[in-house]
Amino acid sequence: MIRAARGDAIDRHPVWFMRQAGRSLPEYRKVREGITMLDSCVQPELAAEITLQPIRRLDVDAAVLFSDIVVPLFLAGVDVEIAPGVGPVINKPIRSAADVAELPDLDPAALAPVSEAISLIVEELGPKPLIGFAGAPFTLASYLVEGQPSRDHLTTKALMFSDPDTWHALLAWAARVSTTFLRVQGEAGASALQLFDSWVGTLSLPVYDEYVAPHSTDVLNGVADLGLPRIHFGTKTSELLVAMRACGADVIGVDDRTPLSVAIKRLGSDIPVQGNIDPAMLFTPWPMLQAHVDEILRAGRAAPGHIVNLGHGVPPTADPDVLARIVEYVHQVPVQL
Amino acid sequence: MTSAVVIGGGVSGLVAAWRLALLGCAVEVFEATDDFGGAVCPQLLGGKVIDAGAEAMGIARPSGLELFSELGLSDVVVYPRRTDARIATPQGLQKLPPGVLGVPASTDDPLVAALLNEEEIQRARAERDVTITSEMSVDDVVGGRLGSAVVQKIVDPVVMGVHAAASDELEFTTLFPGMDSLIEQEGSLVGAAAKMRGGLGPSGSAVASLRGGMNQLTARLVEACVEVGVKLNVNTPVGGLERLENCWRINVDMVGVSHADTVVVAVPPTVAAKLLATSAPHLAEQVAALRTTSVKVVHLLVHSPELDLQPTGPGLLVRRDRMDVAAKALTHSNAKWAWWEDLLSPHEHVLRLSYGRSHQFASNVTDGLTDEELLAKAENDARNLLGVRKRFYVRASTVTAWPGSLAFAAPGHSKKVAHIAESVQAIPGISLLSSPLAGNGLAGVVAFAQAEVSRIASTHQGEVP
Repeated sequence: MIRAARGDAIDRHPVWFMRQAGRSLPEYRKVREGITMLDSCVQPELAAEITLQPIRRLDVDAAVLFSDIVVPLFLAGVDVEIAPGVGPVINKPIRSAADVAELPDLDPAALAPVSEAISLIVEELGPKPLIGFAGAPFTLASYLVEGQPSRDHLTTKALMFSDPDTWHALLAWAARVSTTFLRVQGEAGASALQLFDSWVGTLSLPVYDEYVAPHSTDVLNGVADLGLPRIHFGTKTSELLVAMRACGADVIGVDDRTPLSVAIKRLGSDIPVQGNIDPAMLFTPWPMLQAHVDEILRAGRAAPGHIVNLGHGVPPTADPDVLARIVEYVHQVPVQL
Repeated sequence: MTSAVVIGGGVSGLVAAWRLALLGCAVEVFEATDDFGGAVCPQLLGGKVIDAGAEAMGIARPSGLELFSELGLSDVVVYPRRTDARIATPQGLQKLPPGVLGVPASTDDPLVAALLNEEEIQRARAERDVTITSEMSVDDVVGGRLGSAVVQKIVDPVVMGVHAAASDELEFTTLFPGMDSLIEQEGSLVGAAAKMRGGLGPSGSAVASLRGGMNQLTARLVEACVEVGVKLNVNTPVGGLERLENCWRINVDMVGVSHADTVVVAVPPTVAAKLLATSAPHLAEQVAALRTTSVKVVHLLVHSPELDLQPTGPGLLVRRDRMDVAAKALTHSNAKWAWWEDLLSPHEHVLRLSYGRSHQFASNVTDGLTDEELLAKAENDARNLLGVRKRFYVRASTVTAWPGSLAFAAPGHSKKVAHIAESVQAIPGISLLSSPLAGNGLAGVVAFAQAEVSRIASTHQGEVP
């Protein structure tokens, strides 16, 4: 997987799934019983166990740390919880300069549970890479401003346009948190880092460039010295792919709304990509899914490297056997033409 | 002649073995390394088979293509699809004018004009008569006739690319066999170059290869040898050679002793000199005096959309005043050979860079570099030469050293070769096929091996098999 991320020759197509450690696995549902999401993220043994579950069940080429993008906010002391069926809820949304000024900086020492989990994971993984991740500043800010997951991000964007100074201060804070979170993971033994900008597709390119890109650039630059491949991913980013690359990514994650061939062409065919099986395809008959995977593998050849993944996270209702079948199939498709 | 032992399983050894067997001789080949082919052998680059050494063959002489045809390889003979090779100068890439080893076939060619200034063109057009002797260098003859600019700016990079030494270090008559009489006939060097090119088309088109690479020749030769009953051995270095009353005694390490009435020594000069040291000391000394140069070949499998435009056509030769580059030549393999297309992903390219110049050029010596250092240099050279500005993903790479692989044909070389031929002929039942004796390139090697087989066969004529 790391070789593909660097554009080196590979002997089989690497594959992993965003949110592979999660609700689609029965063993996950079992160990999570009676424990809140955030608690499970900060209990090192449990987080390690959940991270490793898909490695045991699926022959994926990388583990991805079981965590959540709000975990660093939580550990920084922000009043956040993950409400079942809703997602992250911020009890006191951040909407003014004073709110931003009060945000506590994240002390790397507070991330000790994450480092501990990573040590446990890396020990069991052996040579297989662990991918660390963090939410990108815009997505974190969206949660902080809206107070909960939002479809239209109206409050967030309204703040951004009406009070750019507060906005930039907020994103600068979020960027520091993300950078710290990624650095701690990299230093603890992660082999690649992914910056998730889940909601960024809600922005136009000029707005992204002006209000968001500088902060995402700070995060990616802030971990460049670790020498680990940096994956930059968001959804609905068709128009933003080139700008997201310019932030300093080594790999661009492509969601399922842009055909991989189009994304690669837009990016200039000279950066490795990750993606982009449509999660909905997991619920189609195998021949249809297989043809979809074939098309993605074929398109991926035009990039210097291609890591097979879904275009978004594994849906909770997905059948793990289907994921296993994809992995098995992807691994047996020859790398050579 | 009833039995022959061939020492060395490179192309010359295999051709000789095959021909001898076709004449009814019992032949056994001993190859010291673990595979046949010598400089014509396959290698893996990111899972794809490439030629580690020679990747094409000159066809100015018919011997190579004739051999392909005899071996049933005619259907897989390929010619470069692009022939517009370049010269890398400090000013950038310029097209190489058609000619013979850089000697232009016309001084009116606009490509020549693009490489020279007005004064230099006038000088080239006013060709002076220079009488050629075997001691003269390429520089003496070409420079004397057409002016030194033609040598420095056009001929030298080509000569360096092919022979790894400069035009003032190499003997004209060896590099341009038959050219002297052609000059006499045509009245000028340029006329002779035009004549020699004949219908060969633009520069760089006077070569052929095989689909899948020249290594296919070795594979087919091995098959052909097996078909006619040649016994082939690998990992069998020959330790000694002894002339008995009526035959040769060959001591093969780890195998034992073998006897044959003919022995074909088809190994590099240094190895041949050791083998011949006791049985033919004078010949051994002569062979040891043959000079060679070493080259290294770097292959890169890269992903680079910028190279889709094939900025250098099939490849380029580096002029010595390109100080930012250590390579002497670069081949864009998939631009040159169409068969690569089916084997590569979009934007994937195969680049082949060659290194190694005679020691006169201290600044370019790459001998002391580790493979890793050479790879870093090669990547940089490729970027500089091809003008790649964006990221350049090297998916796989190989470094192959070819120590002592090229004849260093300094002035006086052809005389040495003639003296060696006399010595060889004075010893019954031996043939010496070390490549510096064979003339240029693979076609030369093939022709020489065939000529030698005919010679030793004829010396045995009348004998009862």
